[in-house]
Amino acid sequence: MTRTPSVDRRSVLTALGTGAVALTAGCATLDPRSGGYDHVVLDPPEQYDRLRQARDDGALAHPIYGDELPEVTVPDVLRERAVSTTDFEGEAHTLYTFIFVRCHGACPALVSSLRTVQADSIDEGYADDVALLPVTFDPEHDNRDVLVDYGEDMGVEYDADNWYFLRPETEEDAHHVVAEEFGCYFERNPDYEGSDHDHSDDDHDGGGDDHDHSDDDHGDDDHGDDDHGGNGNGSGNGNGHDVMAFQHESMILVANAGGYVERTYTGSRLPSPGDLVDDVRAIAEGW
Amino acid sequence: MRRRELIAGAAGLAVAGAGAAVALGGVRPFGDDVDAIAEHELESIEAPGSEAGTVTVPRLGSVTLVEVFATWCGVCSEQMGPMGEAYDAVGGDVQVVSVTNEPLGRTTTHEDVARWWADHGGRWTVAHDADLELSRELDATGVPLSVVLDESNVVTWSELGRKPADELVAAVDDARGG
Repeated sequence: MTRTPSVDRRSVLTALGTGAVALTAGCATLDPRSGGYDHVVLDPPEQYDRLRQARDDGALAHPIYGDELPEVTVPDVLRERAVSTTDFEGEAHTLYTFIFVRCHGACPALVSSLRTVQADSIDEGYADDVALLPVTFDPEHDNRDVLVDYGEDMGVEYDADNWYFLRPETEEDAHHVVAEEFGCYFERNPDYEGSDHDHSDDDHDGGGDDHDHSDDDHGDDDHGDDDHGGNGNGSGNGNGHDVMAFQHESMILVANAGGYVERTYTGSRLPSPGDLVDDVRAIAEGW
Repeated sequence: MRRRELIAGAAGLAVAGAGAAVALGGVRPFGDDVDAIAEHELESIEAPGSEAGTVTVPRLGSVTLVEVFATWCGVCSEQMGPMGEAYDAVGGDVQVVSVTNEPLGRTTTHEDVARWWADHGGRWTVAHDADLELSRELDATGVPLSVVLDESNVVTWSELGRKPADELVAAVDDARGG
C-alpha cells in the first residue's frame, strides 16, 4: 500500500463530521450504503474504520453502523403473529438482543437494558417510537408462557405495546435468524447436562477479536439463577462454574426507523443502561 | 503498516467523534488516567439499615464499597451474604452502599426493593441510581458490580459477578493503603 493513511483518514473523517457521503478507503465495493451517512443519526462508533474494514472483509458476522438490518420474519409470542424487521420501517426505532431464558449470565442484563429503555420511553413519551425486540434462540425451552413470565420477572411493561418476544419456531430457524442473519454467535454447549466440570473459556472461540464470550465477561456464572424460568442447572456447587445450555455472544443492536443500524454492542463493549438510553434518545430526537 | 493505520484511524475518530467517544466510553477505571468518580446524590430507600433520604456516593474523604445490583438478578441475591460479611468487617469509616439501577416506580417499586432487601439480609444503606449516571461512570454493564474507591473517589477495584467477602474486604484494605 502506498497511500498516506493519515491524510486519507482525515479527509474521510472530515466528511463524516459534516454528514457528507464518505466511504472508508479500500472497502468501497462492498459498501451497501448507497447514500452514505444520511441514513443514520448517531456519529460513528469508536474505531468505526476498523470495524468497517473487518465487516467488509467478512471478518465480522454482524451488521454494524450504517448497515441495513437483515430482513427476517419471526413469530412474536405476545401478539401471536409473525413480525418482520421491515415492519418497523417508518414506524419505530428498534433494539434487538439475543437470549435464552435459562441463561443466568449476560442475558438478564441484556434484557434489563432493553427494559430500562422501555421505562425511559414511557416516562419521556416516546414509547410509540421505539420497539424492544429480544429474540430467543432456545425455542425448545422458551415457549410463550416461559417468555411472558420472564418478562414479568424483569419488570417489562407489556401494556406499553412496544415490547416483543421473538421466538423462531425451531432451533434451526433460530440459527438462520440469529446466527446467520444477525451474526450473533450461539451454540449448544456440549458440556451441558450430566457434567459439572469447569469448561474452558477457550473451547468455543468463534474466532475474531469481536467474539467475546458474553457470559464470561460477566463472570457471574458461578451459580444458577433459578428465579428465571426454572432452569435445571442446579446451583449447589460452591465454587464451580455452572455450565449453561448455550454458549453465545452478547449483542444489543440498535437500528433507526429507516432500517439502518446505529449501534451494535457486543461482548466486552456492552453499554451501561444509561449509555443505551442516551443512544435511543438521540436517535428519537434526531430522526 | 497495518497497525499504524489502525491507530491513526482510531485516534482520528476519537477527535472527530468526540461526542460519541464520551458517550460510549464513560470513565475507564483502569485507563491511563485515573479519573476520580464524581460524587452523586442518590435517593436512599427506607429499608433495614437504610433511611429514606439522600446519600452521596461515592463519598469523598472515605473509602467506598459500592455494589450495583438489581432485584431481578439472582446472582445479586447470592452476593448479599458476602456483602453483609464485608459490611460487618470493614468498620464504620468505610462507606458501604448498595445501589440498584433498575427503573423504579412502575412494575418494580421502592417497596419491592425494600422487601427484597429485608429478605436478603440487607442492613446497610441501599439507594437508587435513578438517572443512571453513577452506573455509567462505574461502567456498570452488568450486575452485580462491586466497586471499591479510595478516599479521593478513584476506582481501585471493580469486579462483575459473585465475589467472596474476603475479596471485598481485601480490596477495601488495599484502597485505604493497608
